[in-house]
Amino acid sequence: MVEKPTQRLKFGTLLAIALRSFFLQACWNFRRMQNLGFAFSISPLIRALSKNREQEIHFLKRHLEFFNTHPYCVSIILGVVCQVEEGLARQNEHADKANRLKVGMMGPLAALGDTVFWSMLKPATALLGVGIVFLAASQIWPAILGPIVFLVLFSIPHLGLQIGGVFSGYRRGIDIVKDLRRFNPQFIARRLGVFIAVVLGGLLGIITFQTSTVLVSAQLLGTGILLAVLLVFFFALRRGIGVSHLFYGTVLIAIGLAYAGVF
Amino acid sequence: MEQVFWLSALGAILALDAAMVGQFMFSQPLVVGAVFGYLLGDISSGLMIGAMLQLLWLGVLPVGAYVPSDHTITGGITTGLAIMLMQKYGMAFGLSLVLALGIAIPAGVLSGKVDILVRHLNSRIDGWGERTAEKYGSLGIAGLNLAGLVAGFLRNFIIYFVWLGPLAVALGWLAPQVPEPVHRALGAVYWILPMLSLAVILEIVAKAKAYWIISGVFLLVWILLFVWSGQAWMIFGGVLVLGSVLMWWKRAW
Amino acid sequence: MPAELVLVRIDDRLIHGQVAVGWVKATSPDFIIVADDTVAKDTLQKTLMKMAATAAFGVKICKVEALAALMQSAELSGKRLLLLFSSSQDVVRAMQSGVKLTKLNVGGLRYCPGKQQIMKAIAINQDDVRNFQEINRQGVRVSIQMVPTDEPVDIMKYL
Repeated sequence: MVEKPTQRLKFGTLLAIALRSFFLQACWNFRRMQNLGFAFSISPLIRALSKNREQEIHFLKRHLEFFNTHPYCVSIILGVVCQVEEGLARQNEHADKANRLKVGMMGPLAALGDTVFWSMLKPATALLGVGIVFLAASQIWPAILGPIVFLVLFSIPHLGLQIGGVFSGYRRGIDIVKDLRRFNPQFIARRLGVFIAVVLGGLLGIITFQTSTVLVSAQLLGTGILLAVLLVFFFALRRGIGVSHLFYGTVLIAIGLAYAGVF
Repeated sequence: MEQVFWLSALGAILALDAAMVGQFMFSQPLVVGAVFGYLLGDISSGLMIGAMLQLLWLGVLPVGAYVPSDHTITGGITTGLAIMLMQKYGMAFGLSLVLALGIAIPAGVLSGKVDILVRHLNSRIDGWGERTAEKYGSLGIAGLNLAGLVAGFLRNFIIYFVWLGPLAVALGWLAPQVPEPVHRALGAVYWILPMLSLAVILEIVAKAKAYWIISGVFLLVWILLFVWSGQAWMIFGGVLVLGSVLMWWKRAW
Repeated sequence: MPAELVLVRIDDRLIHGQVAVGWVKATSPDFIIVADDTVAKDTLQKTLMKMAATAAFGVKICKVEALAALMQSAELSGKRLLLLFSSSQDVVRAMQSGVKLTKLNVGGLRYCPGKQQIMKAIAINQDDVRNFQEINRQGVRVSIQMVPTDEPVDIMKYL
């Protein structure tokens, strides 16, 4: 292994890259997807490393290649690219090592981000926020906590990864892959799954208990009806029927029942 | 109309968060609902509408190059329409919500379709990438990104404006003509809506062990509420503690 | 018992969100098999790909030539497999080496100069056209479908 050269990029450069990465998908396109956003994000590095205009343009064009990953996990790739490009610049090398790394990392990191953030953290925090609003009914004070709790709980890991990812990617370079393995995103996903299940069960109990009496006077019957509706929705969703269709279907059935005089 | 203009502009900016800028979750119905509610002077309705819609489309993931319908826009439009219906025509909360949602869902679908067009347009912009880089350097690339943002903003703004402007007027004219049984039906759908939300979450965690946890906690909470009526807050707090503890217990996975 | 192929997909990003979240949920495979020469040679990429594995499915990586043998192995007997290739050329090579397919899903072929964009995330060149025609001739139905909720579209319309 080559001895690690001292790292000379300024804090400000890395921070600028991290902040720019929020615009990764500003010009998302079907040809090369996030390429323009990536080139925009990496520009501070290009300015810091290029000695002349010609070099800068060559550098920029190299980073216009196809790119697509999870918009949060891109930070890690940006950090690693910073380290690798800095090394290449010092050796006056123009190998396409950075692009190979980008291509290698983007798929797996997209899988990781989609699993942890979209399919687990977002439902978990949103469910919590929604639960607070439902419980507060129409009182503004505790209800306003709903969106706040949702935003704060979601943002801590999000911003931590998006800002911190650039810095640790730069510090650790490609070795960050080992760290990610130790960090084991799958366990986080499963833990959040358990949390969602518990909160879901609790909310289901509270909502059915409170709304059952609105529909029919007998509480047990009302709860039974609500649960039956829930299961119908659930199996319909599993069969791939979309939420919008289910909503319109429910409206039609309700109108039919109303004309039939059921309620 | 001026109010509609500013609401649409703000909604369009918040909606950029859905895919183009940051994904800070500002575009989520729970947040947009609160903001729109505040602007329209009815924050508690805004919060409730946001909560009703927040979970509905969480099962649709924006993975990779896949462009789903943009239902964050549905959330904003539903909140705006429902609060207008309540304030102008004195309609009941549940009824306004369901009616507004029914009108707003196509906006989300349309938004997804227009999004695909915008992304094709962006492909055009990307075609200029190399030349722009040669001529204007990184500043040029920033300009191309800005062009993409402007296209996205216009898409959101136009959809918001059409729905909150002309369509809201049409809805205001139509709503009082709705026959009484339909009123009752839509009001009932309001009470069913949370079940659809929870079914979506159930589908996300669908797994044998999860079913056991959900049923167990459900029964526990329901019985506790029955014997110890009216302590929903404390019970919800207990559920959160239980969830946080179980998370660390390996056998629960 | 032979292994069952629940999905055979061409996607030049190999394992990413659409596969690990969307298709895994729709097809519940026991293993995702990445058949790609470049990845099989590259330790770093192998490590990264394996990171995507969960308790629900394992990840195996092999060279295209070794795929037929791997599918016959005792470890995979009777298992549900999700097969990933990064190019149409690799599919043709796999079929020549004895892997039998009935359906092929095309999920993502990135654009680069010299290619023509036929659908949202699919760009192909003349070699791809020839390969897909060859695959189709052998009785494999080739369709474009990014995620399970999309409608599959027959690729022959675009060749």
